[in-house]
Amino acid sequence: MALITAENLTKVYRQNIKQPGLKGALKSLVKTEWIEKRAVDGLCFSMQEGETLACIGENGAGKSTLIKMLVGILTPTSGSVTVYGQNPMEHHADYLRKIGVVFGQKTGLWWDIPVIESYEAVKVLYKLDPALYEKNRRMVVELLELEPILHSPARRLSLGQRMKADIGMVFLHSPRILYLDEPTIGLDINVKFTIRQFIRRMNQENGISVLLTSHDLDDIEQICDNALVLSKGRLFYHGALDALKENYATARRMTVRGKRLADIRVLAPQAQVLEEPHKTVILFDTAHCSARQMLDFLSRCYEIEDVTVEDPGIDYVVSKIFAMGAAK
Amino acid sequence: MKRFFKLVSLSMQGALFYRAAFLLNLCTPLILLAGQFMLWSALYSLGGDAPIGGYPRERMYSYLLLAFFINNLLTWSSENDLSREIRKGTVAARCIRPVPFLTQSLGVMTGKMLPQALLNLLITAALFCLLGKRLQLPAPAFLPLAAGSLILGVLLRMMMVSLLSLLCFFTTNHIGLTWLRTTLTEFFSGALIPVALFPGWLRTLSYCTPFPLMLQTPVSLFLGEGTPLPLPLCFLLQLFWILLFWLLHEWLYGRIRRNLSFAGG
Repeated sequence: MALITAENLTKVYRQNIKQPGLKGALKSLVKTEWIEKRAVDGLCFSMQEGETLACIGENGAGKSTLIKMLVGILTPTSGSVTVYGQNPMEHHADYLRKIGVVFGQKTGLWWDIPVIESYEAVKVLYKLDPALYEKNRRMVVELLELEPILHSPARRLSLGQRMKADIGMVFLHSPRILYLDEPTIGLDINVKFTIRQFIRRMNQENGISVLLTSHDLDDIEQICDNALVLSKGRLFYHGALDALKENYATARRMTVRGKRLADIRVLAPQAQVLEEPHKTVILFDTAHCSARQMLDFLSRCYEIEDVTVEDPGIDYVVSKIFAMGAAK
Repeated sequence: MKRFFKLVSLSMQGALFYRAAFLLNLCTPLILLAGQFMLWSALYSLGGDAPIGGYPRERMYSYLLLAFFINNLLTWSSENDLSREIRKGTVAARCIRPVPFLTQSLGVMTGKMLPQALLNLLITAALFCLLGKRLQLPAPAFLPLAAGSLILGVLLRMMMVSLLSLLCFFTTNHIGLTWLRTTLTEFFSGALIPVALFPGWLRTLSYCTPFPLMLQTPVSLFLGEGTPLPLPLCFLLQLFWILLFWLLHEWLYGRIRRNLSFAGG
C-alpha cells in the first residue's frame, strides 16, 4: 500500500476582490465580490514509504497548499487524500505523532523560552520514551550543531539558528514522514548544507519519508530522488528526478579550445555557436544531434586542445517546464 | 494531566521572561481595587454609613476584596495571544501538536493565571489581616464549599474565554472581543457591584447567565451569605455551563478546522 495517495485532490480558495481607491473600499463594504482560485486542481499521485519527493512549482503552483492538506490542517474542496490509508483530518492525534512538519516561514518553537525547554516540551506532549528522547536529542544536537543555542530563547536566535532548531525538534519524536515547506528559505550556504546533509542522512539511515517543497533547486537535487512538478495547481510531472532532467534537459553545452579548421554549422546547422575569446561555445539539443555526434563534428572542425561537456542543472529544467506551462 | 501541566509550565515561563511587563501586569489590578475602595468609601460617607442594598460597609469592603481576588485572575492576554498567532500563521503549530486545542488554551491560561492568583491571594490575605477589624471576615464553616465553588467558577470562566477566543479566527478585532468579554463578565458577575444590588429585572437576567456563577456565588459563600438558588443547584449550574461551553468550543473549533485557510505559501 502506498504511504500517501491523492485522488483528484482539489483545493479552491474564495478570495474577495476589493476595488482600488476609497470608492472601491466603500463599495466593498456594501457588496463583496468573490473569485475562486484553484490552488490545487485534480491532483493524482502516490508516494511510497521511504521515498524522498520534491514538490516543485512556480509561485502559486499549490505546493504549500498540498503540504497543508497532507498534514491535515487544510480541508480539500474535493477529491481525497489518504496517508497510511486514512484521512489526515480524521485520525489526527495518532497521525500527528507519526509526522514532522517544518514550515520555513513559521517556527514551531515556543518563542520566549530556551530551545531546550521546547525540546523537553515535545518529550511530554508526544509522550516519548525518555531513553528514545535522549538518544534523539543527542543526535540532533550533534548533527545540527545546536549546543551553542540550546539555552537561548527562540526569539533571540538568527533565522538560520532557529531553522536548525526547528528541524532538530521535528526529529525528536522519530517521525515516519517529514513534511518540509521551504525549510532553507533565507538561510546561508553553510546552514543549508548542514540541513540538507542531516535530512538526507535521516532518510537513508532511518527510512524517514520526506516530502519537500523548495525554490532552492540544490535542496531538491541533494535531498530528493523523485519529483512532483506542479504548475497552476495541476500535475505536470511525477517521477524520478533524473528522468525529469533526461526528458526535459535535452540541451547541452560544449566548450572547445583550439584552432578552427571549418565551420561546424555546416555539419550541425541546428547548433548555436558562440565565439568567445580563446574558446567556442556550442549549444545544441540532443534531440537533433547526440553528444557523441557533436564530438565527432568538433574533431573535424577544430584542432581540439580542450573540450568540456555540460548538461543543464535542474534550474534550467524547471524554468523550461514553467515556460512551457506559461505558453499553455 | 502531565501534558497539561507541561503547557502550564511553558506558559508561566513565557510570562516570567519579561520582568517589567510581568510586574506591570501583576500590579495593574491594584489600581482598580483602590478606585473601588475609594468609590464605595465615598458612597458610604455620603449615606452616613448606612447599609447600601443590605450591605453594611464592612461586608462591602470584604466583598470588594474577594471580588478583586477572583476577577483579576485572568488577564487580557488570551485573545491577544491567539489573535497574534493567527495573524502570523504560527497557530499552525498548535494545530499540528497531538494535544487538543482546548487543552492547549487552558494550559496557557492557567500558566498566566497562577502568578496572578498567588499575588492576589497575598494581597487579599494581607489586607484582611491589616484591616480585619473593619471587614467582615470569611465564614470558616463555608470555606470548603466556597473553595469548591471558586474552582468551578474559575474553570467556567476559562472555558468561556477559550470559546470566545475562537472568534479571533473570524475577526482581527481581538481588542473588541476582549472588551466585550470583560465588560459582560465584570458587570454581570458582580465584580463591580454585587448582583444583589441590581434592579429586580436585571438581577433575574444576570442569574440566567453564567456570569454570577463565576464570582458572585463563590464570594457569597465566602461571606456566609445565602445564594439565590439552593447550593446543590448552584454547583450543578456551574457544571452545566462548563459542559455547555466545552461542547460549544468543540463544535466551533471543528467548524474552524474544516474551513481554515492559510493566506500565502
